[in-house]
Amino acid sequence: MLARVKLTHTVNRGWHVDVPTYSMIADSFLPIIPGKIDKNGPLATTNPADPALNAMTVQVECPDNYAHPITGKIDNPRIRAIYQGNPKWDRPDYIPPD
Amino acid sequence: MKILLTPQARTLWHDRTITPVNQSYDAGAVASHTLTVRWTYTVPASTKTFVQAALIDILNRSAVAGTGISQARINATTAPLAALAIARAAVAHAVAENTNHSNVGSDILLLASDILEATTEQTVATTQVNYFITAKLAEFAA
Repeated sequence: MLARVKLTHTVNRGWHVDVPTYSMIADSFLPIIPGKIDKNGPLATTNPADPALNAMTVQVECPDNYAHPITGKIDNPRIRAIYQGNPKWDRPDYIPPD
Repeated sequence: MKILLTPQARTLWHDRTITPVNQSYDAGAVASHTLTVRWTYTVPASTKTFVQAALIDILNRSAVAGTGISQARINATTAPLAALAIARAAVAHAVAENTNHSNVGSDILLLASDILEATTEQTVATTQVNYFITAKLAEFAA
């Protein structure tokens, strides 16, 4: 499934999407803000805490069985079933990126 | 009294039903950027996955002033170990058309919840680099 989602930033992993399996589509970051966000991500000089990055999204390819059959969005119960027993993903409080 | 246990006959992994998985990031003229996870793969429950091949190829499109590098890595996280780079390639920015590649051609077995992920990082402004980072995986029932 293709999905356009928001990103997460941590010190250890940098910018990433908070799902178990994905591939970023090249040149798909939006919005493009000159001097801050390029088509392939935030520039090295951009502070990760810059509020301009709050609206940043990227298109990703995820496994088809992540999708809710009606909404088409990445679905928590499906992720929990696929990764049953995984301490990070098999959690009721995990909220997939939207 | 001896109790003999006969192991259940199981076919080898490559003779079972395999789900092929390909994770890939292929981008040209990428501008400078901070650490970014371009793709990640987590082994599902009740599953094992062989990493059949992992490849990185990067190309520095033009020479620019300043120190710094562009690099791409493929990391494997196999509990309880922390992320370990199984492939890494980097180029210096002072040399145009500088290329580097890294290949892993042997099988690496990942168990449920293990992670394979590809990252890129490019530290010098005004650079443009091409990246190709891919892995061919074979997923099968544990």
